[in-house]
Amino acid sequence: MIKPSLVLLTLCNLCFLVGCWDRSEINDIAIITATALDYSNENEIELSVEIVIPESMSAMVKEGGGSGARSTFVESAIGETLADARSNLQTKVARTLFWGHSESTVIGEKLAEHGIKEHLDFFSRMPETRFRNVVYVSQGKAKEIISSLPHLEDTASETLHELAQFESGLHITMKDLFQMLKSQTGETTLPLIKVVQTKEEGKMKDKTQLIINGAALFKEDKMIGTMDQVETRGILWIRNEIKTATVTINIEDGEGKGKVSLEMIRSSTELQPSIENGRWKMKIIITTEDDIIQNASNFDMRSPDIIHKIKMKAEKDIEDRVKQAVSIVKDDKKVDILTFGESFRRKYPKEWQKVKDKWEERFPEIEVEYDVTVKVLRPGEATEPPAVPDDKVKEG
Amino acid sequence: MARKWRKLKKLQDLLLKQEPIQAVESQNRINQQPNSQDKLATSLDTNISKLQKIYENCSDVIFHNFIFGGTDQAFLIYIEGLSNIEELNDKVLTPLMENVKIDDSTKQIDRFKTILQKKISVSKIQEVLTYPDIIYQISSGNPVILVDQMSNGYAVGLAKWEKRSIEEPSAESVIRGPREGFIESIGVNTALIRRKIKSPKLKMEEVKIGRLTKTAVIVAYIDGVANKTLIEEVKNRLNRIETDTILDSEYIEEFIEDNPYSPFPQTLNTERPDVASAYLSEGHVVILVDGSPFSLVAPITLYSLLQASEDYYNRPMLTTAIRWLRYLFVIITLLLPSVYVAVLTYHHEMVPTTLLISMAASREPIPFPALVEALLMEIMFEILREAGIRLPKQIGSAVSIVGALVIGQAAVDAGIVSATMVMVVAVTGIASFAIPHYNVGMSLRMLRFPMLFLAGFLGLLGISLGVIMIVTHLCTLRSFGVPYLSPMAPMQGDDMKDVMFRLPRWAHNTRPHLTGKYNKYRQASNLKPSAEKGEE
Amino acid sequence: MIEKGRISSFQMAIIMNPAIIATGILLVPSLTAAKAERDMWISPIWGSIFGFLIVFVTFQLHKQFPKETIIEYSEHIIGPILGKVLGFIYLFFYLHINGIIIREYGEFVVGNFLFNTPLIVILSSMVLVCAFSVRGGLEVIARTAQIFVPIVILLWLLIMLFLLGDLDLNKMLPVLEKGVMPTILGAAGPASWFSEYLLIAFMLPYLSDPEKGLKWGHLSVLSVLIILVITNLTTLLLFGDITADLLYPVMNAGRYISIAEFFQHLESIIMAIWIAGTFLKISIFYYALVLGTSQLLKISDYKPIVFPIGLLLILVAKWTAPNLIELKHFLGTSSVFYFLFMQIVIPTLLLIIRLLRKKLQVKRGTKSEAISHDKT
Repeated sequence: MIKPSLVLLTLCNLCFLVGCWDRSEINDIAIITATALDYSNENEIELSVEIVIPESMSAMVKEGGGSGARSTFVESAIGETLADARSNLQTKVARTLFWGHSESTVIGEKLAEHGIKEHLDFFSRMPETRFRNVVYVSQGKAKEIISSLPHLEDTASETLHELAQFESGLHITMKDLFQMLKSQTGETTLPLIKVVQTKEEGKMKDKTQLIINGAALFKEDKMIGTMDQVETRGILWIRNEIKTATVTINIEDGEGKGKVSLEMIRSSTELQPSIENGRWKMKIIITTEDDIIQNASNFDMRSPDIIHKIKMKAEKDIEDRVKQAVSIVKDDKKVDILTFGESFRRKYPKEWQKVKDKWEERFPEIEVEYDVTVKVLRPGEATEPPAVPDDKVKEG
Repeated sequence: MARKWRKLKKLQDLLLKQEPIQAVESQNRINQQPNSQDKLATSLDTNISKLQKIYENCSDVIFHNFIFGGTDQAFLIYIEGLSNIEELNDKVLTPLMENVKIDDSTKQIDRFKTILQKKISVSKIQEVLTYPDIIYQISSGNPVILVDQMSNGYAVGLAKWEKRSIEEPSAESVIRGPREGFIESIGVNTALIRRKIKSPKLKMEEVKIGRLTKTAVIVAYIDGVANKTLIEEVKNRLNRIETDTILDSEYIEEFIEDNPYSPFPQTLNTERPDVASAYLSEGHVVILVDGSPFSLVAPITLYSLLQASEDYYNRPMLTTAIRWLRYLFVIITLLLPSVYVAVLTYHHEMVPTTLLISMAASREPIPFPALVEALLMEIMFEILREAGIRLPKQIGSAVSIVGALVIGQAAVDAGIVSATMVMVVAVTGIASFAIPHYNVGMSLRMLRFPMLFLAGFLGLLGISLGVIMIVTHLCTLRSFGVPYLSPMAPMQGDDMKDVMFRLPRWAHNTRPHLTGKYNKYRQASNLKPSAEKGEE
Repeated sequence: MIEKGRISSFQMAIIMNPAIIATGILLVPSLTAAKAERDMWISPIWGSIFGFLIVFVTFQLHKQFPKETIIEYSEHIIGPILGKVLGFIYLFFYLHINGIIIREYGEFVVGNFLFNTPLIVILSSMVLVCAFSVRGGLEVIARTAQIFVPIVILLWLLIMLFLLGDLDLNKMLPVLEKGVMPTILGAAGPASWFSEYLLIAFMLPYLSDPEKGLKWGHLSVLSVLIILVITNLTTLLLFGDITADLLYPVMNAGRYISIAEFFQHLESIIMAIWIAGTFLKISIFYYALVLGTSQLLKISDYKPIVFPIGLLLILVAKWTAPNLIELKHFLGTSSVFYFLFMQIVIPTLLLIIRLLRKKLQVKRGTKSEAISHDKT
């Protein structure tokens, strides 16, 4: 007859023998901050990751930042799928790869052209990866992007993250990407990034610069074209994602001439779809509020007439920008990254259901109208241009 | 060698053969009939010889033979050091030794009584009829007078001994508020409470517990406010106790609590008469124990244990904020080291990236896993704390320097522990000291060790399970029938005014639900002050 | 009566709240989104109809038999033999559903956090903790609920608030794009969850204020409804079309939170809070099971059978489905009919039978009175 207390005691001791299954020390993980996917060959994909070196990171902090010392290193491996590449990569790194802190993902140009959806499934299925990653397409190899040594930030990943947050280009997170890919109403677009090795003066020798250089356009999940930075700005206006903008206009009026620059404080864009007599129209209504930040002309900013002229000019300028972007996307490339489809679906669900499958043909046929309103709020801190003598100042 | 062994064996046999001493009948029942053989005999010689036999080998018990009223033999028995000798000599011996002329027709006992009433100018005289009573009175410091041909003696209330003066209690000091504290002598303690509560409804019932110590235990309550069932229950539980010694209120506490296995105390102990009086007025029962400056309050809830007396002597808004801080401290004491270990070991994604990197860098040279390191530091901290209590005052400051320098700095530099761990342990320790009542702080501190283990095995899941188990245990706990976690669970909305916040005094119209249901209102309801009201 | 504790109807409402939402916001939004797509926030409203219905039916049954739980009065309604059989069926049902719940919880923890830990460890640790709570009785469960539910709801609210900045109202438009049918189909999941309100049949006999039971029961259903709608809405507005593709949308939403770059990566805290909610749910089902068993077998006290039933629960939890995919499939399809039948159809039938019988008795009574009256 075994005493029950003995049994209990043995059982309790057992739980100390088995150990903790998921325990991993903080020094046994390799903290990944950026992921890069490149095309290797038809069947294979190359996965590169940027891993943080903890000692050099904190050493840099203590000594006030050394020059030229890397705080991260990049390792890559090839595999059939991303998961396969990951396990190959693990053999090259002495610590367990940990994706929990990865903040940016870069997709190589060539891979984008071949199609990305099969690789992206990895990011939604694995519990470690995060939906808040910012995603880019790189001009050139993605691996180069994440190997760059930025001037200001510690890691390339942080630079990518911050660049996206300024919203000077598109800011697409993994979640947005999935939604765009899945959507029946529109196509996908991703910001383009490129690395610039500069040998200019005033820059450190082995540090590089990452520049956002426009947007990549996708049909389904394959990249079919690019837009440059200026055109991308137009897209941002339509998607209501513009955060900062500076509009510079030329004013000529009699004797006065020169340029004026306005900085946008607030902007909102509304898309108004309408169907009249079977013709699909879209009205783009843009309202912005601006401040004048530089008066490179010799006009006096106190005069309401001048302000009115500036306003008209600014509206025309913005309209031109947007028009140009729309023409490229709609007429040239024919991919609906402007969320037109979504607007029609919301307002005219039945009609949209009918043309849903033929949206590629319908989309270029949409007539677009523009309605831009600029409100010039303040002339900044000065009124007359202080650098221009009084007799040359023109009042409008 | 063999001889030594045989000697030991002999001694052992002797001890084992010795019959167990028959338990002396317990003397702590309140209403007990005296045994017939305990009664005093009429003959003085019989009484004195019996008493001298009882007090054999007690050199501090003085038997003084004198002539009572000029004619009779009498003995005065007292213990040196426990009685007021000057008063004894002046007020008792001198008048009693005078020659008294009384008619012979009066009976002896009337003569005795008349002399006592006329001559002894002491205000407290008690008649004693049995030996146990005499023994008790002598042990309490009251000299006993035995006269020939009298089968009753008299005990004179002249007890006086050296006691501590009333000083601020060291464990419960306040910045603002009364600074009196209980001392070891129960007479002084009851006096302190009587000074606060002048109503005759404050009842104090006395029980004597403990065969050897015969400690006076007083159950104090306010008649009409305290629940009658509660009072009965307390008295029943006290009467159940049969033990040798009661040296401190903790002994009583262990005998009367609801759940002896719980890490949480089910009575409150306080050294302050104002705290005791406040609880009395809310309908609680206060137990005072002779020889201990700590009184027990029953029943209590967890929230009483987390209140400091100072809460009621400072402004309400501040106190509310400090109360919330205190609840935060409780959580920190219990959970901070375990959360730290869990996050480091299982949940790396929770830490912000930069912090994670710097923690990883600082942990590079550390040879231990996080759990072991945490345990090491915690044990070190406990050692420091215990040492700090034991050391005499002069070395106390040296200990703090040693602790800070050695443990803190040197250990980090040597690479045995990481800097963040030292910080975590220090913050936990300080938070636990911020909890007003020492015993709850101790319970929480001890509980954090199992939590550390749970965190080390199952991460945050383990911590959640641990917290759930502790909360479940608290929910099953009762203190004298009152659920331990009221008024949170079961919810009494009205009582939250003193738990979640400290509402101003004019808002406390009703007594707390579970003890004061009997007599609900304690003040008028329109007492909110304002400028206009002063003119009414 | 076996249970000597008494709880207030407010406490009953508080117990039932996490009993539904603890797992109702785990897997169910994904099930609903698969059918209802952009209108997934309307589906809980249809589901709540069942909730209100079952609260009403149970309360009426309670009024007929004020001091008995469903196991006890089913004997009175349909006869001793059938009643016992029904009681057995109910006990096995509760064993099964409790096992499913524990399994859901275990899969969630293992799948998201502790990958390498064996499932049985997770299951056993939770059942052990719940066993302690059940041994304490109904009052203890009520008190732990009163402590934990405010915390759970507060943290749920915080998650919803933190996500406000990322929500996009356009994702829910157009409303009712494909008509009402998808929402009703999507309501299958919430409906079977709402039908768990039958649990109050085990608590109503022990209320200290039973006349308020109906009101608080309905209030509880309403609060659950609000929470489910808001949760569905938030996940919809955050994830849009991909909601149906995610297994645990609310967990993914929690992982998405990032406020001021400081409050981010909070999913482990969400898990810790979730565990409290799941603990309460498992406890109350466990309690119903234990109480029902002791009432059926006419045992005098339920405390000794708590641990053995706990062991049984762990086994059932492990056995109930071979993997998570089958479990989810079961929950989206056959389980709906199973739960609804056991928890809605049968109690309603019991009520109808009882009322009919009473009417018949009254009729017979007046008839016999009339006859005897004639004779005199």
